[in-house]
Amino acid sequence: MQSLSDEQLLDKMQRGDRKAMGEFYRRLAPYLTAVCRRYVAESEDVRDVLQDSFVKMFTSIGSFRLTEEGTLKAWATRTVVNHSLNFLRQRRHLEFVDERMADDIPDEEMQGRSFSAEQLQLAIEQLPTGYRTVFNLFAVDGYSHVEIAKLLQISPSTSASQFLRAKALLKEKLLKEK
Amino acid sequence: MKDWTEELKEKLADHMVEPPQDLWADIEAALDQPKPVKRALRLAWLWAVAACALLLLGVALPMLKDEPSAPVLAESQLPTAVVSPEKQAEDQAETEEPAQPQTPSLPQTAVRPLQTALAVLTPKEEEKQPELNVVKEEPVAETAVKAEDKVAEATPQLTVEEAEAVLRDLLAQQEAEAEQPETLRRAIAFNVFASNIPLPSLSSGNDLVYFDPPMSSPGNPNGGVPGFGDSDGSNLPEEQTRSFGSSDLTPTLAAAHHKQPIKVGVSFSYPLTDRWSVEAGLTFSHHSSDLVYILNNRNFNLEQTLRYVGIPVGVRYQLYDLKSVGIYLTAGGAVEQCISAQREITWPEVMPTELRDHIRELRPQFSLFGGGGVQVSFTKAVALYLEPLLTYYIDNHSSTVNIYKDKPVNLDVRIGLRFNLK
Repeated sequence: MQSLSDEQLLDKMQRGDRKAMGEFYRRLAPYLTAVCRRYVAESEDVRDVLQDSFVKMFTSIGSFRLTEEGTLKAWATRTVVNHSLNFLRQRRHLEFVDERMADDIPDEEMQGRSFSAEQLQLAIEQLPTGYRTVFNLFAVDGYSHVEIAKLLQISPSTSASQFLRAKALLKEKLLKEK
Repeated sequence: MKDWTEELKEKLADHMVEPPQDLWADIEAALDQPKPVKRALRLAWLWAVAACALLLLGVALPMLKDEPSAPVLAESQLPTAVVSPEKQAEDQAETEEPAQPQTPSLPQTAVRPLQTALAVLTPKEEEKQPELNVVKEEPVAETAVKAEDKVAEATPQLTVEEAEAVLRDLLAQQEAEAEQPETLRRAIAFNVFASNIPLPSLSSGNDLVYFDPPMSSPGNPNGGVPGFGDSDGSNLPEEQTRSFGSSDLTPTLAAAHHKQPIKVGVSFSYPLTDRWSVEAGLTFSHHSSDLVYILNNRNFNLEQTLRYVGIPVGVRYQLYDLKSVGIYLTAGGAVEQCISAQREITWPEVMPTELRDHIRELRPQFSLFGGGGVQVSFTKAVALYLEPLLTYYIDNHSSTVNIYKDKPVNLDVRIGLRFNLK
């Protein structure tokens, strides 16, 4: 099962093969957990969102068509991000208030400094929810401010403003830890 | 020079964190559970039940309070009609009492002539007619008996033959009335009903009744998503905007599963003759469909919810009245207007989140219906009815995909309560 390509794995999952689903979970669960934790702070909430995401993926896998290598992972990532955003919306955690603007440390200060993935992940998790969501969508998951505006029902300028504030705060946190 | 956020993106691209303990076991357990009833359907049910309950309370309570007690008196008098006329003279002499003043709570007009005859034939048989004792315990009945005495006193010139004739006529009239329930004839009625209720889905979402309509709707070969072909794509992310903005990329309807619509309504019926009556009302219906579209060889799902308000008008012809059961034919037409049309688009391959939008469906939906009905009366005022109706929905040539287009002829089973107001 471990040597199966994405295409073969998808084919088995679409036939309802529970072992293939288990393999899909083993392959992607650690990565998707990291994605989910960047959006949803509480551990118990992460568990709920991940469970809903996997159940949704397995129940709607029939409509999925593999078009290029890596699409399965990209699709799973989008599903988890989608469920995380829905969760934050439902819990009314998505508030986009302009909190204190951190001192704008020049980007040059960050050059030559190396941060581990764990450090970066932890620093992002500590950001206020609105900042964190926009930062993740823009800087990590590659959405444009127009797309973020539509997803979160805010204006593109709010998205850009939240990103800049999140970036400044993140710089401050990372440099403080160093 | 590389921005530090680019480096952050690269480092987090394959970052992994240990998943929560036993998560896979929980997922497997969730996969094994039956699918819950969809929330929208549950809500629609709750609304329908709440609306019916409120209407029932509002209409039934005042009617129950006004239930007259006179019929009890009339019935209680009937057994006394079989009395030997020979006893008339002596009994009348024995039971003659001073006349009582007539009170406003006299029996109904229809009962009074009968009582006149009874008064002549059976003046006060208290020992031989125990039924009268029972009746006399009731204040109204007591008044009636006293009034009866007064009438008897006031009509001493009526002969036994004349009284018998009056009694015969009245009994014949009462028998005729008994054969014909008052609940159906010549009564303005208020009806509360529901139709096309998908009963199996109450227990589980898996039991939903699905139709198998054609792959595309008539008059619209592509079954195109309204607004997509000419949309400015204002609700879609940029990637999709480009796809939908091109007019040669019209989504094609691949499959449609329409759930049974739920319809609730109220109506008034007005009698024209003993058999004919006209009816008009107001309905609310909830439609839910799962649609699958194909664009660029990719599928996307669209969950569509439509809500209509309608005005049905029709006529009813009474075929049979058998005591408390009535059978009738009904036919008419209706016009429905869509008041809310919502779509939720899921495109798992491309779109990271479900999108919701609203469409406008301005064209009215006309339909014709015909069928029969059975009514069972519980009391004079309340009856339960069941109407299987064959309904034909006339194509309104709108691009909105709905059950009316995919299945223009529908069997509606309408169940309701009828309250006679007069």
